[in-house]
Amino acid sequence: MSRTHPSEEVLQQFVLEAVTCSAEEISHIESCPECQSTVATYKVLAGELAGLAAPAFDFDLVAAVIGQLEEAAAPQAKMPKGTIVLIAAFIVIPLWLFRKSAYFVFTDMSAVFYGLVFAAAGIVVGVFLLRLYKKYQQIINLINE
Amino acid sequence: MSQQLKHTLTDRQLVDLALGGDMHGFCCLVENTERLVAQIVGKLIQAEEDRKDIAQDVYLKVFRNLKGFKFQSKLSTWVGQIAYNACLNRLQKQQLTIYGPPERAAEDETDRLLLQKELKVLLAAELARLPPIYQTLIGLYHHEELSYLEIAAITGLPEGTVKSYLFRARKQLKDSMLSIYKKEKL
Repeated sequence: MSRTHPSEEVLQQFVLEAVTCSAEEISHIESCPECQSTVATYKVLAGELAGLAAPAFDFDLVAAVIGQLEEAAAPQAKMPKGTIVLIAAFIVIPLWLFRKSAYFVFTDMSAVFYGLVFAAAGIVVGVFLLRLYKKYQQIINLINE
Repeated sequence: MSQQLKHTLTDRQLVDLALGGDMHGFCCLVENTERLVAQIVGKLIQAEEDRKDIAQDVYLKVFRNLKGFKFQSKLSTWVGQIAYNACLNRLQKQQLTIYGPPERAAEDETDRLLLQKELKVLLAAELARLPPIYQTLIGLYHHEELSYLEIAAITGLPEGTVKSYLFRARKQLKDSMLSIYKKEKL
C-alpha cells in the first residue's frame, strides 16, 4: 500500500466510477481506514443525492406549451407589399442620386480622420475587453469563495 | 398510433412525426423531456413565477428549430441545451449569476431541520444553498444520470470544468453535512 493518501477527487471517483481509478489507488483505498471513512461518507451522500425528489413543474406543461404554440401559429399581420416597395425606394433612390458624393466621402478623408476612427475603435475594443476581464474575475472570485 | 406506443419511438421517428404536423408527436416529445427541463429550469431559476414562461419559451424554440435538428446528439440533450441557454439569457437580463450564492438563499433552518434528523431533508436544504450552477450539475449527474460528456454538451462547459465543479459541489455538501452532524454531537 502506498503511504500517500489519494486526493479527495480520487476518492469521489472511487465511489462513482471505480473503474477509472488506478490499481494502486484502489489497493490503498481498500486497506486504509481513513480513506475508507471518507469513501463511506461519499457513498451515503451519492445515495441520498440520487434519492432526492426530482424537481417538477407545478403546472401542466403540455397544455401550457400547446396553448403557446396555438397562439404563435395564429396568422400575424403582414406588412403590405406597397409599404415594402416604398421603404426600398426611400433607401435606394437617394443612394442612386448621390452616389458620386458618397464615393468622395470615403476617398477624400485625411489621414488624421482615419487615425481618429482607428483610435476610437481601439478604445471601444479596449473597454469591451476590460469589462470582459472584470466579469471573468468576478466569476472566478465567486467560485473560489 | 396509440399514446403508449409513441413513448417507445426513437428520436428520429418522434421528430418526423412532429414535423409532419402530428401534435401528439410533439406532446410526446414534451413529455419525454419534461423532467430534464424541470431539472434545469428548477435549479437555475429561483423565481417560481418565471419558470412557466421559460418552459413555454423553451418548447416554442424547440418547435421552431426542430427542422434544423441534425441528430448529432440525443434529442433530450438538444432540448436541454435550449433550456440551459434560455435560463442563462433570463438570468443575464436580470443581472443575476449562476456562480454566486442563490438569489433566495435557504434560510438558516439547520437547527429546526436537525430536530427531524432526516438526512434527506438536511441534504436538500444544504443543496439549495449551493450556487445554481452546482445545483444544476448535481441534478443532471445524480438525478438524471447523465454522463460528464452529456452535461458538457448541455451546459457548453468543458468536460474538465464539469468534473471539477461537481467535485467541489460534492465536497462542499459532504463538509457541510459533517459539520452539522458534529455540531449536533457537541
